[in-house]
Amino acid sequence: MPTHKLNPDNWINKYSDYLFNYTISRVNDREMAKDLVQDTFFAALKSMKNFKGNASERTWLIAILKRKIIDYYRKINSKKGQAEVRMSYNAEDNDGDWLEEQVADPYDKTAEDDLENDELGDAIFKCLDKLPEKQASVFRMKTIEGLDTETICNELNITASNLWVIIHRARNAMADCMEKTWF
Amino acid sequence: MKQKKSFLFISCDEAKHICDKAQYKEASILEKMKLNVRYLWCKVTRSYIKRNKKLTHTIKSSNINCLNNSEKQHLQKQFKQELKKQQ
Repeated sequence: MPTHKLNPDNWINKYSDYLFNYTISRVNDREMAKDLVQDTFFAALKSMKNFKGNASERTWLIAILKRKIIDYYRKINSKKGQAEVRMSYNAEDNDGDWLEEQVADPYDKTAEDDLENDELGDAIFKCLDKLPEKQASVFRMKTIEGLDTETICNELNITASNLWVIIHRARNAMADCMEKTWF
Repeated sequence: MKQKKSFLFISCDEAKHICDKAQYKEASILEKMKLNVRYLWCKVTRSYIKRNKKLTHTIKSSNINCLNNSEKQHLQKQFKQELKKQQ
């Protein structure tokens, strides 16, 4: 029985950071990550009719984003494949081994770390979602983006003491939430 | 004598405020000294500092990224245009 509904008006505020973080940890290119997130939202708009309501909005959007990321890698791998044809076998000591195969896989070491970081990122964004909009915005700018106090105060038109009150409340709420879900 | 006492001894709320600032490296040396004095004898301050540090460490270790405000506004603008086309 369908239980979830789509509300595209809230998508950017609610999910853009989460989707962006998910993407950048996989493509390592900020501009490309932004494009993929935008493509995901556009594709989601086009396929709204296909949404059955069995999964949450977030899960549905992530499913679309995953396909976008796969398409992106398919594209760059097809270019890479053309380049690989020009590489020769290293026939001196190891007959028939591709040069590539002799290099240790850099992703192998960090696979578990990446998985844990994904889950942690997920937990942080879920907690951030629960904060009031202003608290979430100030916390994000100060803690995740690392902006200085003056810049945030100018951008949001608040005083420094106001900022620290908001930060204090946000940190308390985040710590409470993370204690339940992660610590 | 009274002035000397208030110079180094701070309230619990002040200690929390300094602790918050310290998470962003915005607390002065004097403020850190005051916080350390309170840390020695106040259990509430000690547990607040512990929790706050844990949160900072967790967020740093996650290496999370997010869009900045201008990027988000740009995305919102593009999205609204696309949404209008769909409707």
